[in-house]
Amino acid sequence: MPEDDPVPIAGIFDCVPKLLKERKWFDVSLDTILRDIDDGKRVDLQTVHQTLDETSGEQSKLPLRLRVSGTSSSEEGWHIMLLLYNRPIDGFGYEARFCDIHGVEQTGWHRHIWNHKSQGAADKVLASMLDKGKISFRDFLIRTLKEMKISYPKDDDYANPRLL
Amino acid sequence: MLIQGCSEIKDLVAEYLTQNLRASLSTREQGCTITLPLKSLDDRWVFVIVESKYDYYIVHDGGKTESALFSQGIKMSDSDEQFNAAIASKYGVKIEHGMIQKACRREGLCETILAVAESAIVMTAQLVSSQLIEKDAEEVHSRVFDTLLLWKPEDMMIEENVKIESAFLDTRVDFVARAEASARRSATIKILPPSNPKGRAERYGFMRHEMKTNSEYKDWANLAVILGAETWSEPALRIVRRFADQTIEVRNDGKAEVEARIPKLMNELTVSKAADLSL
Repeated sequence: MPEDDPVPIAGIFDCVPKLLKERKWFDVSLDTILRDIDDGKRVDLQTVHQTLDETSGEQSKLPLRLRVSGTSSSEEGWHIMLLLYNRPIDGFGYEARFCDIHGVEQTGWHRHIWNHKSQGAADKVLASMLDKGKISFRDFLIRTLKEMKISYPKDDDYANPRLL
Repeated sequence: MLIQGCSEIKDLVAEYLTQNLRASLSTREQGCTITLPLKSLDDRWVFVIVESKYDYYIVHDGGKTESALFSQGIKMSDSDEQFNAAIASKYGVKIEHGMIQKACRREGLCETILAVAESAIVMTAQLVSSQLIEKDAEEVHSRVFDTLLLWKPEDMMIEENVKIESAFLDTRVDFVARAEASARRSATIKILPPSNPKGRAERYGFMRHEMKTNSEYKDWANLAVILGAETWSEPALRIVRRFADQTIEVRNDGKAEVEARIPKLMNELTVSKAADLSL
């Protein structure tokens, strides 16, 4: 493969199971995300994640997006999703009625699960960690980002390397 | 056993609708979540929230529809939002603060619940083929953006959806790789979806002509990404090839080649003319 070819043409999602286990970093603080949500914006963050390709033994770069949306007043609309090459691979949301991966009808918070066969994250499981009483949008982000192994700077100063 | 007559069919449908209609307390005070026996095109049971306010009701989707579309990779560009607003308007509802909603009196409540739900369902058409062609272009747009971020040299900035101003008609390019040092040359990328190729090619030719006569843009290089190239007529392709510095002609079965070719082409296009001459 040429050196300047960043995306393997075949099997571009083979790395997803390994990627989901690794810690990912997005250089934007929770305060910034919440400020954007309060301003009625949708949050679309990008990062480049470096990971070791176990087949070739080389470092590969993966373009990741983190999308956060909803309005803080209505938790039924909250969504957080991690995307690789613009395809959802992990995330959380709310549905009043859904079928989980075992075909059982559920209600409430769910997590999207990567399905290698369908190469998508349409499958869902109940996310009981979000069902413990009423939560704020901040709590929602803290809990889901932890589950998704996503790290972020503790405040805006840390988020901008030029200020360090 | 065969069903006897219309009334039995009606009874069966009524029984199904009743069994699959759910109501639960909303997370909001004085709110009720109604889940309808209707599915969106991304396989979700559609729900609406009914909030009681004095002597009227607010019916809304909690922002779920827009949020679900965005989280699944839809860009929610101006045209996506216009598409959603047009659908909402057809159903007599509005999108405000990201929520499909309408206020109504008790007598109009059922109709309003269905209007919000139907509007929410139709909006998810974007996920399957709303403009399947444009959705395809949107996906390529996102992948090209990701590729540009990986490629980006330190002395270049990547800008998305940039307006190209002209005395006659402003146009847009998908990306500008803007040079921050003289050793580089700025370059634009324009993605051309396969619908109406002749019109697109002519508008592209117009944009490039205007850029060449404008001191701000005249030195910028341009890469045109032609999607579904096998469906383009030869004259339309010739116009784009004539005005672009480089083209990537993508066949429907070869979309992955976009990422593979962009870094090399961008390296070539962004070498400044002065640097090029000194080689």
